[in-house]
Amino acid sequence: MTTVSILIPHYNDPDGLALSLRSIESQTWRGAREIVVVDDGSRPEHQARLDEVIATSPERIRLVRNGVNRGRPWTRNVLLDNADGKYLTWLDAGDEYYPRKLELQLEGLYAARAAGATGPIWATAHSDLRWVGGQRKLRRVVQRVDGDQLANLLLDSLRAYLYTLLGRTETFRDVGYFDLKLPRLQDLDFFLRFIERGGRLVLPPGDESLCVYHKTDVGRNGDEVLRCNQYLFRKHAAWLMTRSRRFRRNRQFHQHMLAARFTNNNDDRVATLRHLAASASTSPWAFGRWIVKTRGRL
Amino acid sequence: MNAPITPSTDEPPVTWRARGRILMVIRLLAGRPGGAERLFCDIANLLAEAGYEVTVAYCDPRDAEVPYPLSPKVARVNLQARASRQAPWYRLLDGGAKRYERATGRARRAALAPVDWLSKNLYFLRRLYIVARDSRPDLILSFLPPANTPSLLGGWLAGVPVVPTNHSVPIHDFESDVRWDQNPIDRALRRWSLRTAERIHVLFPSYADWFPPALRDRVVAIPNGLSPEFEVPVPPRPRRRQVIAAGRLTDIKNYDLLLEAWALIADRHPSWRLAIYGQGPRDRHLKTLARSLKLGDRVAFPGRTAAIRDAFLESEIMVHPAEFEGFGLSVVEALACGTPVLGFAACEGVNQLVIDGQNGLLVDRAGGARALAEGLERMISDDDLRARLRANALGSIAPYRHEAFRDRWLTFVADRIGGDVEERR
Repeated sequence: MTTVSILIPHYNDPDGLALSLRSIESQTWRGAREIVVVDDGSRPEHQARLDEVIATSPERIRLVRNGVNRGRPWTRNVLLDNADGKYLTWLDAGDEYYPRKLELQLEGLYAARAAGATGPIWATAHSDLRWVGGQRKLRRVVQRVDGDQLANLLLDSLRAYLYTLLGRTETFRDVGYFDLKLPRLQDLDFFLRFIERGGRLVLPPGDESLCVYHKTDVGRNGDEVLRCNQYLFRKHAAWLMTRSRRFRRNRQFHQHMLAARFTNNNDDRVATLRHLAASASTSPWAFGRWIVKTRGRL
Repeated sequence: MNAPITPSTDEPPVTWRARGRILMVIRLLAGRPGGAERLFCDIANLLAEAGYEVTVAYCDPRDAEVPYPLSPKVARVNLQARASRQAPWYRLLDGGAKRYERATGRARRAALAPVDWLSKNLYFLRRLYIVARDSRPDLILSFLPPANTPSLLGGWLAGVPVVPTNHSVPIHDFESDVRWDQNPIDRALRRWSLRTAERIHVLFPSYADWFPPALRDRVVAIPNGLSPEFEVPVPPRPRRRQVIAAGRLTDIKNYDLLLEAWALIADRHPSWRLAIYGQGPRDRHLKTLARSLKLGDRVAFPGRTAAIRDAFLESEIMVHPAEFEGFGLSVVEALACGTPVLGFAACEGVNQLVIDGQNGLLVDRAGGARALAEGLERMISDDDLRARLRANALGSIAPYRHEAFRDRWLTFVADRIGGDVEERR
């Protein structure tokens, strides 16, 4: 029986997928595993290369095709439906695991159970973030799991990156499906729903980063991200109500700043100014601090 | 909830969609192991397992664990945040509420009553309104009067349908001089807010008679159900000569009267014993009364037990002398164990379950302890009667099996949340 299902969405990046598969091959954990790849309607020239990459990989891989481009939440739902393993983990085509990821995260889950955790648990991990194009240095993303995890998620000290997760498949299914109304941030919504259902995130033993994310803002629509954030704000109103007014204002400030970063990185000056103005009016104090700290560099 | 951000060209599989979003509201939940709380968790679980997206919300200053298991599919939130409840305007209202409690003059009490009501309800009401307005559930199901009124008002303001559920006889929930908040504003709003209800839940069809004719067609009766653990078959076991009573040790359960009745016949049946299971504020009083009636070891107070099913299975008779009861869950549990029940004919939540001469005996409350003693005497001294009642007991609770309870709730909710829920948002 498959112990771990590794779920990978793919869209027009077969060479990125090849990189991801190589990182899985080098895992120190050698238990029974399967990889499920769902192709989200890649262009024909990429389809042929995708078949080749999968055929040459020594891993057990199941390929499912959406046929047409359906978007990320749809593709993740197809992946969730296709997971057969007792445990489940995610990886985006183009990102990589470090060799001890599966081993340490499974160990982390067992340790949490042994320590008496009764509710649903997911193991997350510290990770590295590499900007595509190499214009910035490798950055380490440290996950903070102590204290109020819901607040940590909303204020970014706990990042909602699916590829950092490993947990029992049923705990993912209990959260439900990814929200199709969220072309962006559907993973943050998924994390929030997990915590709201009594779930807890734990860290594996050790302090090392276990995966690396190749990040780019190119093509990310700041307005769309803002709309998704505002939708999330309403959807999770019950939990946000339990946090202070200042917390909610900070969250809204961050939403506008994130949108400004995306529009800026996509050279949309007008939209960037609009989002910066919205940030400043949401929280002049936080905006002032940001100016002083970064001299206005997004 | 909102206009779709990217409309999908093709329909996603039905299994990816929640059948509807339900907000279940109760005032207090953390660390409170009562019957209504258990039912609340049961209904949340069965709706979540059936594919609804269920959020349970409460507003509890205590931050303890939810006392009954909640499915990992159910989201839970305590709407009370200490810091915001300490805001100056709420403290001002709390100060007014304290004055209301101390006030004696009629005019002063009337003037302070709205302040007292706002102190108890404004915070909860405001939060429920914002949650309903922003997250737009398809239905709000509220439990017990302290949550029903704010939920009805909050849902009404936000335009979300609300179904208040009532777990007692309506006259006791809406007219009692001792139960629930006696603030005249609360008493008035408790009744007025029913006009805004989508439907009004009660436990038995006859409970609809209390409601004004204009509301009666909105009343829906769904009785409670037997806990699933009582439905797991167990081999028959020998019964002891024991009369059992089980419930919270409160005035309403009327155990004083039971002890007096027992004292009248105990000497005639030396091999029989009375066991009163449960905990509650009358614990010490009842033990003192038993001593003063010289019942000695003829009565036992084993406290609260997780193995109440075993106790029912090992007893010959269950006695339930309650003053009133919304739904006698322990009566159904006893009948499920084949233990016939003795109760009062005038107790509504018991007389709906016990049919005199078929699965138990019902006696006249006006006869007091003597009538109860006579009923006990009949059941103790007539083995054939007990055997006949026992033979009918299990079959008599078929409408209250967990399966039937689940089906009724699911049908009711599906009727309320019909159509395309995604389209409505």
